[in-house]
Amino acid sequence: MGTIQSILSGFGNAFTLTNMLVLTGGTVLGIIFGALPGVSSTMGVAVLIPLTYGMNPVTGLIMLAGIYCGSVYGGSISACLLNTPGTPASAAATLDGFPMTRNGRGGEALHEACIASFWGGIFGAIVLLFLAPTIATFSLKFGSQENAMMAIFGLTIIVSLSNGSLLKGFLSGLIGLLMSLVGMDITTAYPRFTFNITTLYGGIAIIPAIVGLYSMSQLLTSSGEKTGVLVNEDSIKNMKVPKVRLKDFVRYPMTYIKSSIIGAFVGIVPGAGGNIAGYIAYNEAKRASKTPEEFGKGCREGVAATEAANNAVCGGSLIPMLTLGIPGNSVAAVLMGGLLIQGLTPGYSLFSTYGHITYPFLAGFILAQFAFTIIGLLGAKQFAKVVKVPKGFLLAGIGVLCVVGSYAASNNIADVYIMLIFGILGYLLKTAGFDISAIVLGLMLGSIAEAGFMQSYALYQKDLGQTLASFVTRPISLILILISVASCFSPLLSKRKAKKKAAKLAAQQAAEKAEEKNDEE
Amino acid sequence: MTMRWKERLAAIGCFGLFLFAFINSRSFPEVPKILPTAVTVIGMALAVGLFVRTFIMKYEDDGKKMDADHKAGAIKVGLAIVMLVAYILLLSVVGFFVTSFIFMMVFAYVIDNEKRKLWLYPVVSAGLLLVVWGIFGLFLKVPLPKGILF
Repeated sequence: MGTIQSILSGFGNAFTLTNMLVLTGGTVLGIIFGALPGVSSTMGVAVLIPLTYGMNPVTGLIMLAGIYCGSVYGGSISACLLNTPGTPASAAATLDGFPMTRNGRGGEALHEACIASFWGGIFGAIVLLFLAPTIATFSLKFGSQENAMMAIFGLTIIVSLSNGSLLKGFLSGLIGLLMSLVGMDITTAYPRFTFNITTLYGGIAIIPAIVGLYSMSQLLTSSGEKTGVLVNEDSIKNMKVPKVRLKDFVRYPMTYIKSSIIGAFVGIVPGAGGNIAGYIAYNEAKRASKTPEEFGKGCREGVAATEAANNAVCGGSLIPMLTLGIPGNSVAAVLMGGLLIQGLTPGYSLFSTYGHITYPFLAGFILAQFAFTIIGLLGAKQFAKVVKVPKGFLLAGIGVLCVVGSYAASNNIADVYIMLIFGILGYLLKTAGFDISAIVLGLMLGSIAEAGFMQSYALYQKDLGQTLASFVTRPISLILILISVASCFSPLLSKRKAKKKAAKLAAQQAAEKAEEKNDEE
Repeated sequence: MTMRWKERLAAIGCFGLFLFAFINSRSFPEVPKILPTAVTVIGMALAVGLFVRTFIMKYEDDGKKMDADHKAGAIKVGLAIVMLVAYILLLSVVGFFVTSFIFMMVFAYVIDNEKRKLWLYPVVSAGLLLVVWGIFGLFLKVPLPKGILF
């Protein structure tokens, strides 16, 4: 079946009453979670994955699509109204969204955020729909060496793009890799690091670990923050929501297009998220604008640029995840956990053997854009009230959801203990500046890397030298090795460049000052 | 605690973790030992690197003392961990509903920065629990932990 036919049949399968109801529910939940400051999209999706356990794969994945897209839009609500991005992806939306609210145009800002998110989301979803099957077909050329290197490449790029130091990024990745080794060895079934605990024989369950690392650790971080209810009551009470007209959808066509392209391609790069895309698109819109001086003072186009870009990231970030098993960002990593729970492994099989599940999911991803736009435009004022939820109740509720979600994965209380341990570990590492996403990726990609390596090892009659040589002699594998090495050293080079630039600037300033002094004398 | 000390402790913790795993992996047969050995050896080397770096590098918060807000925050995080550990340990003994109800009430009261009317805590906790039970227990039929009570 051709791609177009698969897509059409995907829409047919996605468009059922149950799926639409679930999509609507997921979108509403996503918007609520996204709007809550301190609750990121990742945390929202991680906590809500258990909702999909009892559903069939298509319905469950469509719900996750709704949660993901809804939460990214939801993040702009608190960004615009409170100057506090609900999700990191919406950080750039504060630049003009909040000044608009202060100028009494909060409702307008929310509408623009919704409309721009729609265009960005649609573009990202279309790129995903057409690009993913092509890349997946390319992955057919991968042997065991390439699979192993792809996993390592995914890990190195996330590590190198992660905030803070490269050393901590690598340590985070290695902690994840070590955790992935717990359980029976894939080639000999020898139990490693299980300490006679039955639950550990199957390895560390991904979902409880993800819920712990993302949601529980965030809960602990938020518990220690001083902020309570972050709301400026008047900004919501007196907020006027204007009527939406059709021309509002085409107010800034070039900004929508450019920002969407930026967002989709930033999303494809593993590790680069919506926040980066938002700032790049904002700068581009400002640069291209005839009135750049208005940016930062409540310019509607500024909101349009950032929101179109960060929603386009959603589709882009799923491309490497669905095709190569490398999540584009942390939400994609959690969604990958959702796929694995449904028994689906990323790669070509998703678009061939499991096409009847994947294409409806991708169709659902497009429908999710319509869902959050309609819901967002109709309920802007109601969603704005979400930010008033008191911190104590919110965190207590999230704590219970974390427990239910981890337990429901396999009705095993040991999974709840794993979630708690990972939550505390994640919190401690996060406060020391370690990258949680790298740990999660290490945990998920570790088994893929090991499987690839062990298959090659078996293929070369357990000759370690020949096995390692095979990684260098195969062209795709060699390219992946080179890119991995380059991605490891690129942050060091860019740091050195930035240092040189700063030193040059400082020298220039000093010279100018000295010259001024000489002139004065 | 300054970032220098946080990193130093994290480096010691990571080294301990990798060393423990390394020692444990010595008893593995040849093939299952390959990757654990590689991961733990590199991990220990990086942890040592991080530890050494804390003596060389300059940190932004060097010399800064923890203010009252940070101290209060750290205490709240500690309390949150204690409450969560107690909640999760009692969950399978007492039962989901009773422990969750008590946990939500106490957690919300302790963590909230603004003190609200006392009756709000049990009422909101019961309401939230009802929603969780409605969605997971009734609608999705997800089993919830059971104990002596309910």
